[in-house]
Formats: sequence, structure tokens, C-alpha cells
Amino acid sequence: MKNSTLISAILLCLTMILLSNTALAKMPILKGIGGDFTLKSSKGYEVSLSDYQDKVVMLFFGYTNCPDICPTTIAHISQMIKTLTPEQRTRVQVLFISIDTDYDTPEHLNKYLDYFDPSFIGLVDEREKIDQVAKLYHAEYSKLANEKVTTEFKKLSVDDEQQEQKGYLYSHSAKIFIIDTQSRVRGFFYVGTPVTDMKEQVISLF
Amino acid sequence: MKLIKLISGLLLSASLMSATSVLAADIMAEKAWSRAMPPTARVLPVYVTLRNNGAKDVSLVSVSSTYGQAELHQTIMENDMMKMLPVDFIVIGSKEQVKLAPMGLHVMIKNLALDVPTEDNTLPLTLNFDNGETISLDAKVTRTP
Repeated sequence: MKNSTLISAILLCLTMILLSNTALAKMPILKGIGGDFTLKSSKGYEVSLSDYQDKVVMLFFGYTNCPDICPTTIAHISQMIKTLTPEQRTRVQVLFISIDTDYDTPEHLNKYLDYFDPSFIGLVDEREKIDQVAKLYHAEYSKLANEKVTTEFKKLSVDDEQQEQKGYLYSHSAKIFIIDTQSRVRGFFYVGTPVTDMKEQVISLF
Repeated sequence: MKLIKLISGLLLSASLMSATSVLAADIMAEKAWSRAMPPTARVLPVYVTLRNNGAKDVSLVSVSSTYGQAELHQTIMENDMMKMLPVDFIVIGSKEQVKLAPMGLHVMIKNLALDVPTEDNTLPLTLNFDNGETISLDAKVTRTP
């Protein structure tokens, strides 16, 4: 009896190891998410996702008046890109879609992204067009409502000053979408995803 | 005239006393840094590790900076959505440490009054705690903390 329990445990462990390896080695093709789009870019011309069929695209949503999440995400992706060989780098394109259509412009995105990594391309357009893309990627966003949050560390007060700053407090998707050379969404990374895992998975899609 | 001198003297001693109290303080702030941001940025993040060596909980209640209006914020992830919310205070439990770090608690400076600080410079800050302590420090401006 003890032996059979031991064997089951070993089998379970082996299965888990196999499964986790498979998950890392092979990214599934995700259905019902993603699709082509065309938006104004920080490079001065319009960009379509289908322009990058020879590259793996890393796509994420954000806005430049975001002090923490967006620069941290950019720095994380940038760190991964730096570990690639120059040849591998030519096969990756990072796209940053701004959800702040009120403030961000292609010119502003260009100055912003250029500072972090000139190869990154920023996209922004009319709100309706950004909304459509966000919908395709299930990455709906919103300007934060005056919600009250109370935890051990925080208590949100709602006052006039906060009403003013609502403009740049957005809630948005935390995902970094990984899109293969056929414009198919293959998975997501987060700021917590180790650089080595990101690298391995991106290279597996070349 | 003498009165003015006396008042200045008193003010000077008061400031010296407060400087001394920082040394004897319960709260220690270390590893303060700000991510180097593009010259066109309108907001700056600052991160710092706070340690409370005292017997009582202490809260960080406000931050001031010559660079602009500083607020305490927290980034929260809920159902794959990230958001940033203002917080009124940050509690540092007795004998505990709280790390203000990317994707979590942080100081956000907005309404910038000065140019965005460039890499390898410093960004001065004053942290105010509810036990009356204040800590002035220079956060290192860097791309790689």
C-alpha cells in the first residue's frame, strides 16, 4: 500500500515536471483573442500588426503618464531584449499601445520610448480605434472611478484633488502579449516573468 | 533686533534638535532610488526601503520634494488588470521593514516644478512620519537599481 502511494506520488511529480516543461517549450495558439489592427505610430507612419509577420511581437498597453507600471514593464522587456544576439533582436518587435488618447500623441510616444529603447514602437490613435484593439485583445481599460479601497496598508480618500488627477489614473491590462510570426497570440508575460523564461519562449517562436 | 536674534537662535536650536532626533530615530530609510525617466515625463516614481526599529508601528504619512507634488501610491493587480491607487499612509510595523518597490507601493511625483532629473543625479525627498520623525534623503536617479 505504502509502495503504491509512493509510486503514485512519483508518477504525479513526473507528470508535473513533464507538463511544466511542455508548457515552457511549446506555447499554445490562443483562440478568440488578438487580430490585426492599424494605428498611428511613434515612427511617424501607420503600423499594422501584419507588418511584422517576420517577427515575434511583444505587445502591451499603457500610457506615458504612468510612473510605476509602464516604465517597469518597459525596463523588464528591455532587459530581455538586451540578452538577445543582434540577429535575434532583428526578429523581435515591441509595440506599446497607449490608452491615453487624451494626452499621448505619436510625437510624445516617440520621445518617451526613444529614451528607454529606440527600437520600441509606440501606437496611439483615435479613442475608438484604440478601444477596438483593446477589445480584440480582451484588454479593456478604464479611467479609474472614485473607488474606495481599504486594506492594512492603504485607505483611499476621495477629495477634489483626486478628482483632478483621475485623468491619468488608468486601470489597464497587465499582460505582455506574445504574438507569433503569423499574428497569432501565443501567450502572455508579466513583469514577474523571469527574463530567461521570456527569452526562451520568444526564441521558440522564431 | 535682539528679539529677532533670539528668535533666530531658538529656530536654529530647534532645527538642530530635530536633526539630532533623526539620528536617534526609530525609522531608517535606505536604498532610495528613482527610475531615470525621459525629459518629457510628467511623473516620477521613487522607491525606498523603510525599517522601523521602534517598539510601535509608525506610518509614513506624506512626502515632500522640491521636484513637485509627491503622493503615496500603490500598484495593484486584480484579474490581470493593473491599477494605481493613492494611499493615505503606509504602515511600518514595529521591528519590520516595508519596501516601496516597482509594481507595489511607491511615491509618485507629479506637477513637476523642475526639469526631470537625469541619470546618476539625485532627487531630494523628505519623508514625514506620524510619530513626528522626518527623514530627508537623496534618491539616486538610475535606470538600473
